[in-house]
Amino acid sequence: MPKIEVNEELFFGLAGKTWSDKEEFEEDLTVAKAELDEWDTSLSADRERTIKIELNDTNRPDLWSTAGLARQLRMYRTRSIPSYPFFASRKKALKAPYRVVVEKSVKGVRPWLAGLVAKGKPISDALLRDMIQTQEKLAWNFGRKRKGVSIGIYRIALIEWPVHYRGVDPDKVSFVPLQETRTMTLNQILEQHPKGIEYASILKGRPVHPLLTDAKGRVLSYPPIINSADLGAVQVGDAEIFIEVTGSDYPSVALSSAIMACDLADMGFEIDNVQVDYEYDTPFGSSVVFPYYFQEEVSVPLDDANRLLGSSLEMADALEALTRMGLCAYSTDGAVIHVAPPEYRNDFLHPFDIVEDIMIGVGMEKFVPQRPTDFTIGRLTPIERFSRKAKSIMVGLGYQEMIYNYLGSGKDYAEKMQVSAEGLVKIANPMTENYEYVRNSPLPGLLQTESVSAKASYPHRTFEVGKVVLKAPEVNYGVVTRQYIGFLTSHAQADYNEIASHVAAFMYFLGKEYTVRESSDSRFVPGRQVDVLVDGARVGIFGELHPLVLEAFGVMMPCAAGELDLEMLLED
Amino acid sequence: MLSARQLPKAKVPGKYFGIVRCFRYDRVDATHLSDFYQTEGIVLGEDVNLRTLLGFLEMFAVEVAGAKEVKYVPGYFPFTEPSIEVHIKHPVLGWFELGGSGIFRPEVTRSLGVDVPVLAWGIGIDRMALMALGLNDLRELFSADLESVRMRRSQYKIQ
Repeated sequence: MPKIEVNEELFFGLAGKTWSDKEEFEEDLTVAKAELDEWDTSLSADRERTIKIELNDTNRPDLWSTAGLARQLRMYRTRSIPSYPFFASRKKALKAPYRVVVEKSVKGVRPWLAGLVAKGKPISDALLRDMIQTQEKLAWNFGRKRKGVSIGIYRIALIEWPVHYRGVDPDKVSFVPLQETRTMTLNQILEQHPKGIEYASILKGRPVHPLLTDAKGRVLSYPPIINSADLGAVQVGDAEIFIEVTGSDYPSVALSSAIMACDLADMGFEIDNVQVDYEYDTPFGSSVVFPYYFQEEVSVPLDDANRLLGSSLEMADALEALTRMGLCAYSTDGAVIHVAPPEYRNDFLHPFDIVEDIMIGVGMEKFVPQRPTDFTIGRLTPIERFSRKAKSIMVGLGYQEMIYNYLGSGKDYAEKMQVSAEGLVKIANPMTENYEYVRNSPLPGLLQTESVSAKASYPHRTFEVGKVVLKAPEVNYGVVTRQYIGFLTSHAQADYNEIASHVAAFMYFLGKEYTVRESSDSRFVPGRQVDVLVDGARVGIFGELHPLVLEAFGVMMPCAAGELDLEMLLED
Repeated sequence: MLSARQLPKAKVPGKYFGIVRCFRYDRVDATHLSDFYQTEGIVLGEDVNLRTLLGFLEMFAVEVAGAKEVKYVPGYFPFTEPSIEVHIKHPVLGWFELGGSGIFRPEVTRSLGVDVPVLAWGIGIDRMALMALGLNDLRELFSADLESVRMRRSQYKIQ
C-alpha cells in the first residue's frame, strides 16, 4: 500500500483546515481510508514539517498525493465539489494550444500517451518535491513499476511544438540522459544507466523503443526509462511545465493525467489542453484532447443501497452523503441514484461501489451494530474435539500445555535437533533467518522451553497440540499439514520407562491399542526409543532425547519425549 | 481461503468459521507476530447487511476481547465492498486493529453460485487475547518460559 509524505503547510492549506490534535486528524483521515504513519509535531514550525500517511485503497490513486488527499478531506467537510472545466470529453470539444503527434511506429511497444500543460505560477521547492512524489506513486504503485504508466515533466520554454512520440531503433538513437554527461544510445542506457538497469525488463529485446522528441528532433525523454538532461529537467522557479503520461494501459494513462491536472489546478495552476493526434485509432478517437473525461455514469436503486447497509436513508440523505464524498449525484424519480464519477476516479466497477461511498459519506457512527438473528447450529470439527480430549488427558497426567510459533530457524529445527534440514519446508523470502523454516515437529519448541527454564522447579512436564508441516511429494502441493501432540518430561530420573508409561496411559484413555517397535531416530538415544504403531501404521515415536540434542539446546537435565500424529489416531 | 472453499457448498442462512494459524511477512513486535492465530468467518443470509456485520464485529470486540472502546473505520480489501476495519483501544498499547471485514462483492459470490449477501471477516485471535488477558505484548502468548506459563492466572470475570 502506498505511503506518501506531505508537506504540512501545503497539505493544511489545500485541505482548508489546520489540525493540531493527532487523534482528530486520524479520525478525519478515515474518510479517505488513510492512516497516519508518522507526524513529528515536536519539530519547530519554521522547519518544513512533513506528515507520513499510508493509503489503503489501491483503487484510489487520486488519494496518493497531497492535493488529492486534501481534496477528499476538504469536500467531506465543506460539501463543495470543485469543477475542472479544462476537461474535454466525447460530448465536449476543446481547442488545445499544444499538440503531440503519436506515430504508428510506437504502437507495438508503448501505444498510449496523454498530456497537459500547467502554467501561471513558479514552482516552489515543496511543490516540486510533491509533484515528483505523485509522479513516482502513480508510476510505481498504480502503473505497476512504470510498465502500465510512467510520467515525464518538462520545462515548456525549451520545447518546439508539436512534440513527436515514435518508435525508434535503440542502437541508432542517442542523447544525454539525466544524471549523465555523455551521449548514450538507448541500449547503452538500458545496460549502463542506473534507471536503465532498473527498468530494462520493460523494453529489453524489443526491436523498437519509444522516444519523445520536439519538432526539431531534440530528445525530451526515453519513456518509461529516463528524461533527457537538456529538455527534460525541471527546476524550482519554472513557471510553465509540460507533463506527459505514456503507458501500456490506456485508461490508467488517461486517469493519471487527469489526476495530475486536478492536483495542479487545486494548487493554483492554470491547465492548458494538449491535443494528441494518433496515427492509429484509439478507444477515445484518433485525435484526443487531454485532460480527457472518460467516465460513464453509474446508478444504483436507493432500496438496494439501504438493503446492503441495513439503513433507511431518504434519497436526500444519500445524495448529501455522496456530495460529501465529492460525487455529483442526482435522482430523477426519487428511486434510483445516478452518479457521474469525478474526473480523477476510475473505481466505480459495480453499483455497489456507490454504496460504500454512501456509507462513508453518512459516517460510520450512524450505523448501529445489530446482533445476528438467524439461528444456526455449530459443532466442533472431529479433530478439534479429539484434540481437546487429548489435552485434558495430558493435563490429568500432570503436563503443562504450551504453544509455540510454527516458524523458526534452521538452527533450532534441524541443526540442534541432529536432523537434516531436507525434511523441512523452507520459506523462499523470509523476513529474517529466525523465521526461515516451517516446523515438522513440536519437539524443538518443547526443548526451547527446557533451554530457558532451568530455574523452574522440576519435574518439568510439558506438551503442545498443534500443526506440523511435512514434505509429501505424492500430494498436489507437495506438503501436508498434520495435527500433532508433542510431550516432554524432564528431571533427574526422566527416562524411557516414565515416558512409556505416560504414552500407555494416554492411549488407554483414548481407547487405542498400539504396539511399539525399536526405532533409529537421530534425535533419540539408540536403544532407548520406539516407534508407535496402530494397526501396523506408524503414528509417532517416543524415547530418551539424545545427549547431543540436549547439549545443543543447553539442557543439563535428562529429557524423555515423544510425538504422535493425532489425525492418524482419530482415524479408525 | 475458508470462504472460497466453503461458499460453493454453503447453506442459506449459514454461518461458518475456522481458527487457524496464519503467517505474515512482518517485523515482529508487540502487536505483530510472524505466525499468529486468526479466525475467518462468513455469514450468508437474505437479510444480512452492514449493520449485522457490525453486530458480529461488536461481539468479537466486546464479548470476546472485552474492549470498552470500539470503532469501525472504512477499509479496503479487494474482495469486499463495503469494507470495514474494527479497532479497539488497549489500556497500554492504545488503538489497534482487531481485523478486517466486509460484504463480498457480488462478482465474487455470484461466480460461486451464491446470490445472497455474504459477510466475511478475519479477526486476530491473539490480538483479542492481548486485550482479554491484560497482556502488553503478543509474544507473551507464545512464551517458552515455563515459570511464567505456570504462574499465569486464569482470567475470568463475574458479570
